Amino acid sequence: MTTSADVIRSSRFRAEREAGWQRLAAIVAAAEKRGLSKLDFDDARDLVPLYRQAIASLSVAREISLDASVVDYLESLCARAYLLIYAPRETLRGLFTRFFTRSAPQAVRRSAMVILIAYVVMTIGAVAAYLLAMSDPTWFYAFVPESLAGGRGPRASAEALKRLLYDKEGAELGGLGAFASYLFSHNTQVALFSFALGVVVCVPSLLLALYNGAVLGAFTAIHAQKGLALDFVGWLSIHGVTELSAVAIATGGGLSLGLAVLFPGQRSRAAALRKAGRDAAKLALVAALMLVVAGVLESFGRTLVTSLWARIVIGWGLGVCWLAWFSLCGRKRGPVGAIDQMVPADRIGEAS
Amino acid sequence: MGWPKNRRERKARERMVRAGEVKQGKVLSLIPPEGAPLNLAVATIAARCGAQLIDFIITTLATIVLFLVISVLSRPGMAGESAIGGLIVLLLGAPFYMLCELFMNGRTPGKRLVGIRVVSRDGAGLSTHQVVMRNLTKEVEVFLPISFLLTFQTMPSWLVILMFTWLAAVFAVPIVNRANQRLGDLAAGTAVIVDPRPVLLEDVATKADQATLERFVFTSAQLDVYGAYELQVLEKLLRPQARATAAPSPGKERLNGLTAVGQRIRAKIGYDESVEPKDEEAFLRSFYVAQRGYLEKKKLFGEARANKFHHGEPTASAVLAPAPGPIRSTASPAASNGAEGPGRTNEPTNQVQHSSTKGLT
Repeated sequence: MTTSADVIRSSRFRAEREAGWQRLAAIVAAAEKRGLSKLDFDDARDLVPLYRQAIASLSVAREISLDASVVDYLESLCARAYLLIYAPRETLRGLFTRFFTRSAPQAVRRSAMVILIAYVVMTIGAVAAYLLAMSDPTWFYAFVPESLAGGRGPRASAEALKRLLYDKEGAELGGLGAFASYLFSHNTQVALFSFALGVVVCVPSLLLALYNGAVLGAFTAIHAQKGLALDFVGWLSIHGVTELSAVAIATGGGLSLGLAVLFPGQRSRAAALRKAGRDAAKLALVAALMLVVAGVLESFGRTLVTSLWARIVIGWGLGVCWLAWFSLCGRKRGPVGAIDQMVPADRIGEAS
Repeated sequence: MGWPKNRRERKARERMVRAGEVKQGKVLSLIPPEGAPLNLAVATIAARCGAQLIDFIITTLATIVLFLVISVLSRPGMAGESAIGGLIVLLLGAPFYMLCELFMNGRTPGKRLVGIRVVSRDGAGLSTHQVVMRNLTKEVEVFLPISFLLTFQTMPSWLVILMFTWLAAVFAVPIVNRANQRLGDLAAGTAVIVDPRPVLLEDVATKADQATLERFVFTSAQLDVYGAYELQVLEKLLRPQARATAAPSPGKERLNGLTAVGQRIRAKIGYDESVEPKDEEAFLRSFYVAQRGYLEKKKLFGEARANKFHHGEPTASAVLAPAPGPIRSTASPAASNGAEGPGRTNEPTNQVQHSSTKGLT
């Protein structure tokens, strides 16, 4: 029984199509080197049809060919072309525009309830600690670790407290220098932890929110006892409104993850967690952004602006700006871009 | 599948993995919108750690350089430098990885050097959300515990133990996972694969000329012995370039190897004529062509033969293993007495040749 090479079906199959595969490989190599937009007209036009042909060849080769090298080659070639053709098509500008005008405020609105819960829990912590510290100043030490107190405490004199509040030089850290150290400081960590730990059925996040509120309440109490309540509020407002909102939003993100674990509904827990993760990731980005803004305010604003009312106006004015962004932006459904159309139905949420 | 025993074997295998001849380790099956599954080699944990290390070195160096530039440019006593420094540290963290992976199509500079990339498991393109998700979680999953451990003298011991447990769990997840996914990959629905490098080797069948093919003639009964697996081992054996680089002296050793394999095949299929050593390659080539034509014809009619153990099996179950590449010998009890035929082992080609020559002498 004889079989010559050109009657082997798979050899003929390969011979007929090889030129197309080689051309596709060349186009893919060129596109990876110089970018898709730099392709010739002919190459750009032929890329996708050639890719489809290669995929079809792969399917056929798997069925008819016992030449392992061809199947392996086609598999690698198709994968390479697939990765090129379905690459993310983002521009930096489009990315930021979409985030700021649509996806971030929409995510915050969708998560309004959990963020509100975070605020409420923080307030409860603050009120409780305030009342306790007012009745017995030693409670202050129960809530505030020494590293955070920085010389402030029930035993500090009113003058000392006041000097810390209105310190123009920024004494120990040197004004702007505070910003760098601030970035990884207390509230950033709290935000990070309350976000990350939310997955553990919400409890650690809520405890952290409660504790963070308690620290706030304890500080307010020691200042109130010296008659500096309003000054303290002003000192805190300029960055605190933004910063505590960031913590609340991060906590809200963590809570939504925890709620997905607790009440997955019709989905599996993993699927519910993935779905909650879409909004939670955006909340984390919003919180990070707000923390950076708060850091700038803390290092620049707090030492440059020492007037009480200016501090309050700047702080709460910025708070109103955040609120306006979250509540007003992205109400209208924006024009549907090419990217949105490419996204399969179950992934719509992440593109909008 | 045996692990490479010494350095030379390991190098040879790595080369073949890179050339796409052998798929090693875990394989991820992606289904692109076109519907034909693509099997991609999953990046090893070592490769990913290497890429991470390179990225870390790059970002650290960039940070240091930027800090130096700032300290040169700023006048003494100017306070803004540490604020800018803080921003640099922040931007060269997670945002760096996110933007790189988005704009470099699933790669960072480190991943690019190592030759791996991130893909979306659902077969659609990588989305912004996935990139953000896997890098945000990396922050919490890996960097935070590590940075905590660097300062662990100041931490209570229960927290240190907790962090170590967490880190151990975090590193255990990709080892156990089928596609080496870490927690962040699971959350984002992504995986890291070896960048596919297409290499088209020439068709062994077209190398044989008509005269040789007519000189050696095989009967159906003779072609009935082997299956696809043995065919592909023979294919690798006949491919010159794969071995030319691996074996130190290709000429004589190769000839001995071919003779040994040829003799085994002739004994197994009952081919009576004796073949001169110089004609051994021609014999094997024509056997390859005949065998491939025969098996492909059988396959077209629905009778795929995975290997030489197809005789006892009912026809319906004799289907090829779905994974292409080296078809592993099915776990048949007879596999242990694989002393005959080219299908003795699925080690790389030089291995086959080497062991078969040893068997002869």
